[in-house]
Amino acid sequence: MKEMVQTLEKPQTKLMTGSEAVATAAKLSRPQVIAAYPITPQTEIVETLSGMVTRGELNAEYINVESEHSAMGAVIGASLAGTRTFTATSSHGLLYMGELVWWAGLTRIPVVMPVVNRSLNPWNIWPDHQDAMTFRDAGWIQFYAKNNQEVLDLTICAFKIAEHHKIWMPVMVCLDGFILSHTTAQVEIPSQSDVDNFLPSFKPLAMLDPDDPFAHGSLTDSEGIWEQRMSLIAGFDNARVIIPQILTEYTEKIGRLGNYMVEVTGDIDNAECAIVALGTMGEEAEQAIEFLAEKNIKAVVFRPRVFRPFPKKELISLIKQVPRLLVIDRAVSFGNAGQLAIEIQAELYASKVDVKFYQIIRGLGGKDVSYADIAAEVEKVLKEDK
Amino acid sequence: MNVKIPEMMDRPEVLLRGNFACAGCGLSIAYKTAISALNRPIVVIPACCSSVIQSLHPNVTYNVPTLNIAFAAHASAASGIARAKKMRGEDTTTVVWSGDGGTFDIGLATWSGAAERNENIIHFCYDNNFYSNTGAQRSGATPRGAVTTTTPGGKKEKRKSIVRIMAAHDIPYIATASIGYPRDLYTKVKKASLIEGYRFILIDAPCPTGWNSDPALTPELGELAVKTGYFPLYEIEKGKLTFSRRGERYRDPEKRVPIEEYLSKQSRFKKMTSTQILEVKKDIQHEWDQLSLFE
Amino acid sequence: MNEEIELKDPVLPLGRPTLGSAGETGDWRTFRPKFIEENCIKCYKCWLSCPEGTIRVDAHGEFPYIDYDYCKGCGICVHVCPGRKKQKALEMVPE
Repeated sequence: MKEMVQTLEKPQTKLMTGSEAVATAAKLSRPQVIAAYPITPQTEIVETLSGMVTRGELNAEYINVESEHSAMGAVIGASLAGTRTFTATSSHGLLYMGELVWWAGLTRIPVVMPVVNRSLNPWNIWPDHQDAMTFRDAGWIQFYAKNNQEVLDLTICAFKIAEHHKIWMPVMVCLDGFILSHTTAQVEIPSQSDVDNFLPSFKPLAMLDPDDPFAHGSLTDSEGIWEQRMSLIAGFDNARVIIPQILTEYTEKIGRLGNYMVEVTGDIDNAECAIVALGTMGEEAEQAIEFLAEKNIKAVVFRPRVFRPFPKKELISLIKQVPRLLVIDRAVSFGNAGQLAIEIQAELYASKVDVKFYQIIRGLGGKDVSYADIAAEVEKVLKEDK
Repeated sequence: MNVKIPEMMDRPEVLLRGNFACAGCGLSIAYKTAISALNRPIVVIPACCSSVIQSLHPNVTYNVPTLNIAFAAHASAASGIARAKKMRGEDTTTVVWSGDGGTFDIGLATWSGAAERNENIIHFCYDNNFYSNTGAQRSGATPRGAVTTTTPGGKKEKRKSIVRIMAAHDIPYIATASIGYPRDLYTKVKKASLIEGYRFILIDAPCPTGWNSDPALTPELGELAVKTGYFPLYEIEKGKLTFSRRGERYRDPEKRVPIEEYLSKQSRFKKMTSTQILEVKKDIQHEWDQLSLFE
Repeated sequence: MNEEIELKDPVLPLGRPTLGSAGETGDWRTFRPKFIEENCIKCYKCWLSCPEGTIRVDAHGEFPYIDYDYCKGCGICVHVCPGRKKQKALEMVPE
């Protein structure tokens, strides 16, 4: 199975799991230092990459660290020492890494990290977004992919976005555990030369160098912290502009992806209700609208594939065109509601948009959410709002 | 043989004057002696007094590239740097500069992982026996009887033997050194710099602020720790221990300066009972006996 | 996206090596070390043990001198000075 990710001279189409799509994308992006710690359901990513390094298919240093905390520590060090870096984790691994996830976000470390979304304790290995949502405030760009193809494409783009000198911040590519990580699907793989043409080698903005010494992240007073935080806010504003440009470039040079921040599926002009969901639940919603169409109910799906920066303008311009909105979250901010719902509501108020708003939480701990379930929820909305 | 002072005089100025270190700071002596002995060092500093004395952003007292990192991430960040510089083909020396809190306690897992992987790093632990930058709380390195802000009645337990834990990793070079003997420290660092792999140097670095001692006595307390047998000086190369010339004679308890002389110069030990002093003497002998097994 | 916004460069958390990064720490002193040249044997132990690097030596064979702008007055130099015939080459005097 592993030999499918040999260097490709030409684009190819293969059947692969989401984990293999991540590993293939990482390999094509030529990271120089990889540090990772295994956790279900991310393990196949690190096993595949360490195999590639061992066999000499990928010229990188692979650090078998003793924890996720150390994985992020190692990539922070390696990034500042002037190399392209990669790691991946999931669930409790992400939480254990947490201190350094924030460190990387707040001190601007352009690392790329797929997060294979998995529920938190009690022990449960199935998917929800509670892990990644916990870090939505940590100064990371966050993508949520809907299928293995998007996992591969976004992971390659993530390096270019992270390393853009006007962005220069870490990127998380979230993919639902098992639903994507362990499920085989058809994936178009770009050739190495196409990726090289899209993604130039790593050009550090600042590098630990004895010939030009600096201290990174030293003791800083409120003025300095303020300046750095304002810069991070501005960095996300830059990212809003630059991400679609990079997605456009990828689509032109390699194909498929499209430059949208929010994917729209269905007939928005006649839709009675719009469904908003992230990741594979967004894709499931796409199935749901076909199912609803058979019952002569018109619905549309808005799937944000970028959650940070939050695509407020794009979402609002879409929501303005529909009468009802159903937001489905796969995580909760306990004591309030689902994070996606909270953020959309805030934006609806700010933009004075009048829409019937409905929110539900589904799929926690990997509880199955089928297209039929989603369709039923839409029908319920329509029944309530007659 | 230790280097002569003239041989040290062309060393680079790694610690610039006018920083936040307290007057008579032991770690400053340790830092400038150790880091100046290295070729193109890149230094990783976790939370510790060294992250405070560097002064306020954007000014920094360290004249070498420095990465500040979270408490328990020093050796992992250094692993990343060492591997990255190897990938880039750059000739640098990757250094962990951690206090005893970061080495003995919270950062134990990160260095153990790096040591087990035999990463190409020199790990210095400047040991001032407690959490100094947060104001003198107990650490695993705090000796029995010492008053800290979290052991106001004096610590009940003996201090952890970090070197014996480190030695269990069978890394290529381990040494202990003291700011009381800067030439010995400098010589050991030079020696370590010629070896590949994970190297560890524990440096006794008295802290006048936390130990309630006269700042002028900082080097003398370093010397006394050696002369009382409290802080033995030695090297462990490929698993074999050799006591340093400066310290070997104190193997014989008869030749040791009475520990009371060391303890009485620091107010942190003023609550010690005679029973505790006897226990400290036993602790000292126990450590020497254990170390002798590595010879 | 056709918006024309000014894309600002990131502010990275970088500090640069600076002499006197904490100001002129010589202000901290209540006592100052005073050098007595005739007692100096040029052993440079004061230079070796000065935590701050404020005992300066231009070249081997030269007398040391003190940078009072930054000397914090800890007294280590005086304590480690062996002097000539037990007469120390450094002494602490009140500011």
